[in-house]
Amino acid sequence: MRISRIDLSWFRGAGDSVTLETRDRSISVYGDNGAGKSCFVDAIEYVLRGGRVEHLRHEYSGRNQEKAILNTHRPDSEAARISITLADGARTDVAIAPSGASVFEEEGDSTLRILDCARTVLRQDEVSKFIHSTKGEKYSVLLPLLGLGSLEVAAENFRQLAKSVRKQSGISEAAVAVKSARARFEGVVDDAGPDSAETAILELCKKFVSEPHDHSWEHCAAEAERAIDGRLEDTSALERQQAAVERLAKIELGAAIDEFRAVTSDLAQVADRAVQSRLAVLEATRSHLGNDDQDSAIACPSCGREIEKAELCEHVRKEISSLEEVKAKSEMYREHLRRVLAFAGRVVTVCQSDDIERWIVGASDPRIEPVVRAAADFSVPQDTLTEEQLAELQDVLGEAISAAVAAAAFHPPAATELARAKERLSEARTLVEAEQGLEAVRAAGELADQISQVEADIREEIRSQSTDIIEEISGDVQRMWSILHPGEPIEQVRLEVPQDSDKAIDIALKFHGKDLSSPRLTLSEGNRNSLGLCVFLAMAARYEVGAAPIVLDDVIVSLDRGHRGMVVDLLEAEFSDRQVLLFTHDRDWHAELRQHLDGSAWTFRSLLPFRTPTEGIRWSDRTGTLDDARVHLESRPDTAANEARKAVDVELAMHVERLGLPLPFARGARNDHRTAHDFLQALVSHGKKKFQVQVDGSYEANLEAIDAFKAADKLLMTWANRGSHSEDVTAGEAERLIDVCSTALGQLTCTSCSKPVSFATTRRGHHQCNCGILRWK
Amino acid sequence: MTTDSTSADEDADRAEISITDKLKELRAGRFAEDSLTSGEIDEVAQQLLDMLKAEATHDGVPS
Repeated sequence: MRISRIDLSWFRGAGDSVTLETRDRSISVYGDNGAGKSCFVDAIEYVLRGGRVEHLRHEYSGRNQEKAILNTHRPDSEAARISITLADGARTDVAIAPSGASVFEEEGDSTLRILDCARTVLRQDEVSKFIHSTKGEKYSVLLPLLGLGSLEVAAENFRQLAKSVRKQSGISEAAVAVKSARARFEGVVDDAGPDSAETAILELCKKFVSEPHDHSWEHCAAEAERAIDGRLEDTSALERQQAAVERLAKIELGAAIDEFRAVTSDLAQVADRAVQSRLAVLEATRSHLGNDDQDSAIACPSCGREIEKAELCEHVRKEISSLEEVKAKSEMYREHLRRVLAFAGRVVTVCQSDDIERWIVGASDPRIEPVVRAAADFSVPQDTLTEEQLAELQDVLGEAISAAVAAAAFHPPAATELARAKERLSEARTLVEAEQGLEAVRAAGELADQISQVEADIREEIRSQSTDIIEEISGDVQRMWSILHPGEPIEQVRLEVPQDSDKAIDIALKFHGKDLSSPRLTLSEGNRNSLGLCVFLAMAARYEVGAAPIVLDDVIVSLDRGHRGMVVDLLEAEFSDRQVLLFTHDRDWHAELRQHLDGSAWTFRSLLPFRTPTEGIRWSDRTGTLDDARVHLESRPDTAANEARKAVDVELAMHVERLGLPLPFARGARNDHRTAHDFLQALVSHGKKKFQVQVDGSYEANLEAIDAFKAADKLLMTWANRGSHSEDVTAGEAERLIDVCSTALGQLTCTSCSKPVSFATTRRGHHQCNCGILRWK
Repeated sequence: MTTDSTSADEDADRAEISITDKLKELRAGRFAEDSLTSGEIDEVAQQLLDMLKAEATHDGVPS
């Protein structure tokens, strides 16, 4: 698959219309910062991602990225458009409305949209971000590229599902309810009594029911309750009244309130401690993650001493455990709250009964009636309880219970016994129900475990598959690394799946013979980025969907000149059959690419500096090395002269380096800052004997070239230097300078085969152009 | 209602297979396609819990 052209209209920096034409070849596009190179990359990404560009996803870009996607100076009547045409004529057209909503239309059999953007487009910041990312982040980036993204998505969905099942089934709440019901049950049975709630129910049933119809606990509880109520009905009004007072006296509201207060205080202390500690650890974690070198030690949030990353992980684990304690206490708090409210409700209900009414009306102590009526009228809060409400509840209802306790002390045993039996039956039933509730959710717990096992199986599958694929890709990474860094003592560069953790992929290597677990330990910024480039290209090399194009946006920024040259070798060696779209602001590199890449497979274009959003992206019509200088001829001739000198500096440096010309020694850094004058002098002095041109089948000295070098040197030393210092070069002088420099540079490239004299090396060690007309002996 | 032990076992097997099948179906389909929202996950969890209740009813245990 090859991209033939990209047409943009009012998309990002594009004005009314701009077209990138590749002629179905690979292309190198040069442009200054802001010239609009990345708009073409953004357009490709927009199409591949179905209407979004990843680096534009931020709070300012709008819901559909409309604030960033559309040209800010687009006329209201114009829509933004992208059109990408493939070599087979298939085309994707996108119209983007002012709201950012986009409409895609496809024409033809193939489509660019089947491509995975992450394996097609690489930008400089992504390389850097990838290398600086954690093992987990590398895993997230690489897994989809390894084709295992859907497995990871499934594993994560199952993890969330298990969590949801546990939450929805309320297994921890059920456990707390059983604990609480058991405590209450044990409070109403004697020490010698039954330890099982079901046994207690059966015993009460046997005691009050002569022949139960069914021996299930539910049936026994219902029959026992009916029998006890029947006995209470049969008792005298006085006995019923006494039973009611007994029931009221037995409600352990005071104890429940004390426990509730203790739990509340406990929760407050634990929560406060946990929150403080958690904040400190999270703060340290954030600062640690923001640190460039994550493997370095950091200050411990609790003791201040230096700790390693593993220790921080242990801290985080402890904080999670501490938060789980808070969660358990919160559940206990809610259970005790429910209990207090239930007891309070029971007090109010009993106080409103007719039996209690009879008691308070006939009571000899006049203080009882107002106390019990206040309790009967008390409004119990529904779900929450402030300290003030609790104090009021305790005062009002507690006094009614105290009055009942005092009265019950004088009751005959029969009524007391019936009331106790009813109380025991009620608590036993509550406990059995709570236990059954727990049993029911135990099954849900097993279901959650089953789901977690599915997740574990998927993770194992991911580990197994990724290990195999990563081994293969590591071979490619290693091969590409050796092309970029031949003979360097950094070897066995590879991706690795750590044995000790899920969801992690890292890069390992051998540095001067020593195994290192991370490139961040020793590699320079440039080498790290070079490594990131190798990883991406290895992924792209394995991605064979229609031999997809590879788009590289300014990816060589942090590489030095030597390694940039190696990138050319890498592209030629590994991707000669793929279309590569290169975008760079590095003029030297662009010039080098133009010299050394196959002109029949590559196209080279330059963008003019960006002027206004309305004009948008503009192509330079010129293709020569000195065309950038000519742009300034009319408005700023001194700049034109200066630009010409810079261009000749760059161009000649490459020729002289490739021809291996010895240059006179210069002191210190001047060796690295040689100018066109140094190179021209060398070309003149060595060229007299070595630079030859084939005329009528035999070689002779290329005297025309020597003269051209001399003329260029002379003008560069006068007018170009004047242009950069005194700024008084005239337009005519600058034009003459550019022409002379152009002629001198032209001498080094064959007019027949368009290749430089340094293009090839013969068996004898001579340099020559492709057809051999130019030769450097 | 009474059922013979064979058909009760079959019912129980059916319920068990149903949850396992449901998990397999999720793994091969919807769960592998895209990250689900918490609302969607809760909905699936509720379906599974309902299936579990139905299974418990088949076993004669009240839910």
